[in-house]
Amino acid sequence: MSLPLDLLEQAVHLASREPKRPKQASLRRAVSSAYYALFHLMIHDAAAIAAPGLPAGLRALVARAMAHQDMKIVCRGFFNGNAAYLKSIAPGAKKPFRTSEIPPTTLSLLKLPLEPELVLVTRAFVQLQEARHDADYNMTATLTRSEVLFVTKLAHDAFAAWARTKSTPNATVFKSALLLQKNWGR
Amino acid sequence: MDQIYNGLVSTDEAELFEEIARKWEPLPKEIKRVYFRYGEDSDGYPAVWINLVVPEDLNPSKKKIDALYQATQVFSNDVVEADTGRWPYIKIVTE
Repeated sequence: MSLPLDLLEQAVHLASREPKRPKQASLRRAVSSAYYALFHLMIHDAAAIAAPGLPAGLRALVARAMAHQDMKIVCRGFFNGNAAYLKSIAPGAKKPFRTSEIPPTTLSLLKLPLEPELVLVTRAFVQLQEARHDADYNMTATLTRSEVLFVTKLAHDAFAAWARTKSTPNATVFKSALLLQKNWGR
Repeated sequence: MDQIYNGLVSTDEAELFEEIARKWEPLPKEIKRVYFRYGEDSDGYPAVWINLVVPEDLNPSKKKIDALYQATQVFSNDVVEADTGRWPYIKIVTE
């Protein structure tokens, strides 16, 4: 599984090139690589629980079926649903827990609150995907090295957090949801 | 705190963000000022961009990036806890 790590390394490399005057091309590609590093990490691990390693190529086809926007919706839903839960159990909370951000079918499989590491990954994915969109399509914005190094740090932290949480039951539900949640309500 | 209005934020909501941002003062020394921009993100979800204005630095130290990173965690959490219904995105900009 070298692609995600290679992309992360590439992001850091591009973010640090041209020490005197970074080229916008380098900074924009650094942001894009940081996002794709996390994207490929997620689809690799999600496909691994959805399809066996043999026959060769099946798992890659499953990974290919995963869509950026669907994954972002799942990440945002997990994050917001967890935030709503935390608010409902805070001292003095007046409203019972309810969320429309996580579909009931998914919610029934989760144990809330989510692990902080999983929460970090979901937030980083949403932030990185939007940063990637901006870096690739918003030519009116000028990226700074500070921002790009911030983005690469976010990706690094998401990798580290994922390594700590990816084997938990909630993370297993998350991985399945990334691939299938949009069809669970049928 | 400066706000950029683009027709997608009510006065009440803008005041709520002002109130949130007041908690961040004094800002960390790495940040000159903060301003908000409101709108929708690339897939149409309500969003707020928390723009952190920093001095231009072509080679920011790891320590500086770490400090900015820590500040952004606090800022994002405060927006989430305030239940604004907007996803907080962080931008680091120079003037």
